[in-house]
Amino acid sequence: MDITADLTDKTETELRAMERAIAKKHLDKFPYLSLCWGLGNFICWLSMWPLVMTGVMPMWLGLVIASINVAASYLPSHEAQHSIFAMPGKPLRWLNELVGHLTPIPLVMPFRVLRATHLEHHKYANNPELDPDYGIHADTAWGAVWASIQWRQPRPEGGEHRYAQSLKRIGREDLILESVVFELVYLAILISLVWTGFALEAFFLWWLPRHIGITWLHFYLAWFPHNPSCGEGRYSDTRSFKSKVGNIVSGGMQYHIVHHLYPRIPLVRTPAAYREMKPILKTMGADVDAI
Amino acid sequence: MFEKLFTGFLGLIPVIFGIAFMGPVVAALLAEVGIQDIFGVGLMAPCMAFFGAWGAIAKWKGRWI
Repeated sequence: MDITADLTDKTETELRAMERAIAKKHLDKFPYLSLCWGLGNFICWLSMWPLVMTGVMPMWLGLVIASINVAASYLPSHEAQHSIFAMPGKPLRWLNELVGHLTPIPLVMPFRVLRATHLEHHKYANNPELDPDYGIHADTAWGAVWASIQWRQPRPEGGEHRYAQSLKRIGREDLILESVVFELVYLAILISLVWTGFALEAFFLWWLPRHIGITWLHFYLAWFPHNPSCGEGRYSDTRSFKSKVGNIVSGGMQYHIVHHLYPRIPLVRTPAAYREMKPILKTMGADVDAI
Repeated sequence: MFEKLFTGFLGLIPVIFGIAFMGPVVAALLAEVGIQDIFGVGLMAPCMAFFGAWGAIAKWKGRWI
């Protein structure tokens, strides 16, 4: 579609039909890149341990690579949360679930918890009460970093974690227990490493990279596409933006609006879908001027 | 009964984290930069005590920082 196309004479129904036709071209494409990225990233993170422990790789390099690994571990699982690898009942469903469960292990976040809370985020994006990611809202970039740090405290915002509140609301208290088990196993591994002579490895290959990774994820995936000017509603709960560090370093989030409209479009196809949809999105009132 | 014990144990996690993880890690970091003791006392005990106390404050206040 011509990006300067004048669509003001079209009705909302016609625009939505045009939007769906574009989306259809990008849906149901197998995300090979996300598959290689997810599994490769996980193997890379695992390989840091023997390399650093045996002195083959210096600790500082291990910290840099492990931080990138942890930050990069979420998005392949995010594709699986939306069943982009395979829908329920399809032959490759096992692969969808495998990628979903395996790839976020460095983040110490269970796949089922991520999926349940993320789907709530899609349903209620930017709703102060119901969006599980609303805790990252802030007026400034530094405010977002601080909100992310607070998100990890024992009682963020002075009470129960928003994810726990969200899971209770949808009747999935069982997933709270799963999160607790994940945290306990993580703590047990860290403590075991410390008391077997690998204190610095535990700190520089997992504890610190996890905090760096979560901060990056919150900043580029939760704050930047939804803050500070976005409201609620199909065309206003997120936006496109031009990142100073480029689309890859910002997690492919420049075109996040396409993801909220059509969550099953693979991440790598959102830029192309965005370019085609842009005139429609603009006519519908979306904030798409930045890129 | 089990739920009470489990919840009580979870409440102690910041303290356990401070004593068993952060204290020894900071002791190892200080040793790495050449600090071998604090006022003549080996690093491990003061670091564990400091981070255990910080963990207790974190449990009480609900936040580390």
